[in-house]
Amino acid sequence: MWTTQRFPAIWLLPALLPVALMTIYPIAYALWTSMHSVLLLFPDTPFTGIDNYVRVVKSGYFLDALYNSLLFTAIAAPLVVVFGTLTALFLQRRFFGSRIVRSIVLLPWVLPGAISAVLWIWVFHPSFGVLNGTLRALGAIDGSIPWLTSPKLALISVVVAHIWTQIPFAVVLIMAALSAINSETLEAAAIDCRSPVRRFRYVIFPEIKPMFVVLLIYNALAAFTTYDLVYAMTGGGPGTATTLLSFQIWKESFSMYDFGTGSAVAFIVVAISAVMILAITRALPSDLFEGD
Amino acid sequence: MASVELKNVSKTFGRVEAVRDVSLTVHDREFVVFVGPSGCGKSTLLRMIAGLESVSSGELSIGGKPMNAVAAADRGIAMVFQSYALYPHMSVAENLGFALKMLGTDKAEIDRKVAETAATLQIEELLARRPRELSGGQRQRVAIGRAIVRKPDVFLFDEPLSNLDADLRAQMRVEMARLHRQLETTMIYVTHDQVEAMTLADRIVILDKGRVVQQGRPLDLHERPANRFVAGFLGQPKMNFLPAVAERVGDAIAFRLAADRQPLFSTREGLRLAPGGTAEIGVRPNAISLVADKGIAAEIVLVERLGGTSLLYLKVDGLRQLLTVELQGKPAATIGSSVRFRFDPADAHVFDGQGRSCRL
Repeated sequence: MWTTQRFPAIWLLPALLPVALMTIYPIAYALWTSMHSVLLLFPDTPFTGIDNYVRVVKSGYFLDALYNSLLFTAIAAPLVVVFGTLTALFLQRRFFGSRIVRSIVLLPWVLPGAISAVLWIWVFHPSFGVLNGTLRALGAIDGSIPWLTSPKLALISVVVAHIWTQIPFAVVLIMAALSAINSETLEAAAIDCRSPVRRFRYVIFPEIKPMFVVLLIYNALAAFTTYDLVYAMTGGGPGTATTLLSFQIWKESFSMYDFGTGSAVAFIVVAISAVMILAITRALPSDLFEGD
Repeated sequence: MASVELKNVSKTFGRVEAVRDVSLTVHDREFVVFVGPSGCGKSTLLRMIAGLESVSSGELSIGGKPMNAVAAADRGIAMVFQSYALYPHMSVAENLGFALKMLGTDKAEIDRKVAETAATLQIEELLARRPRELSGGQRQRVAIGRAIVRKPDVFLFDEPLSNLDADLRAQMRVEMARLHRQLETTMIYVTHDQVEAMTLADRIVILDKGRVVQQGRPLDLHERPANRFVAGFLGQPKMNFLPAVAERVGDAIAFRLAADRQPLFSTREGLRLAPGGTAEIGVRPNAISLVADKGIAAEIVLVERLGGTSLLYLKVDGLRQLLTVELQGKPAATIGSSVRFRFDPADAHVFDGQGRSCRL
């Protein structure tokens, strides 16, 4: 009678209940909110249909924020994965002090987002920042570059900080994938092919490709939904230069106290994220999603 | 076609000396087997020839050209690994053709060579499959095919059959021998399986603790082991060793069991042994016979009947090790019964206190 085949649903309940409570309920509640007028100062929550969505799309910030978010994602996600892979390949080698270097590479991971943001604010500080200081010392610039307050540079500066915080995770996962490759397979490749670049392309990359794709998806989502660095470093400015769509979720909800509109932005972010996941898995088919 | 020459080659990993001062020549088209217990340095030696390990000191040349600083891919070698090391995401055909593709061979030529190799190894029907869809034996064939297709000067095999079950191993052993005759290429083969070594090798090189202990034709090594290690390593079931003392009696040397001074045999053959010294007498299990009287007394402890032959394990007074006797057919023998055994002095190997053969 204790067989899992007779009442499979019952056996799944202990696992499904927390999922339902933690994931499905909040999502459903957010969806409900996005279709009602939920304002902190008004106790009534009348149904408004897609009005919130329309308001978001027609708002002054929407196109800028969408453009910024897509640009942010398009730069950050591939660079994180590429730099992560290069770092992992480098750290695979054993050299004097390699263990210490491995630990150091992981450091950005342990720092909370807000701390990283403060760190980078100081790096980019126009007068006292290490970046301007170094450039001045090298004689590359005379004055100071306003990294975080120039509309042209602010987004790039935040992207750099974001990449820095995300690389360690990519390094760890790619290193795990690399170490799962049979060492004799790599040796066979060394006998078959002289060029390390071609060995990477034909033997190593196909082996780590599933991990590569997973990381790309993860980082696309992380970049598209990031908000903490922007919040702490630029507050979305100057103007709308670093206003990201995900940042607007926070702004609408907790700055304007318009939870209905905030939820609508959130669902637009979710919809675009879903399209991105599909696009990446289509563009880079890998065994992971074939299910053989 | 090429010879492989090693001159005073050593390999150290940190403080560990894996290979010590090995000098060795593998002749063109020769099949040489490196054999020894695990950790003896045989695989390291092979990997140094392949270029997968650097040479710490000494000279390595292939086909007369110095190879110490040459990359693995440029040495003209091909290697078959214990784990087969096939490229998991490539089909069998792609695995076979990979090295050629990397060399820039044109597509039609690759296809022709892959087809030819597949025919040689009878794996034509597997060409479209991935390695994970193959059995162990099939993977092994593909791994060998991948080596053959490049037409290397030297084939290197690192315990290629040890992941196969006994039946398949025996079958592949026969094929390896056939392949060597067919390809007429220099082959160096590492194994810990002495049956593979005995049956495949033109020459066996026995290694222990990073050194070459003895090398020679299989039967020569079997019949004239240079020391106790080689004697104990080659031959199945293993050689028996009886601790003995030697005494000079006239112009002959008489050996007695060390434990109870029972006479073993005496010989006039020239032996390099100080009389009165201790020695060990090595006798192969099939050289011992049971006799009705005379001989040395022993008790049967265990009988293993293998069909064609039977193995008797005897307890001899004063001897810690059991004595193994291999007899033809199904002799009447019961556990616990007393027997007497003898052996022909011509079949005895005498080793001195340091384990060296005393044969002149």
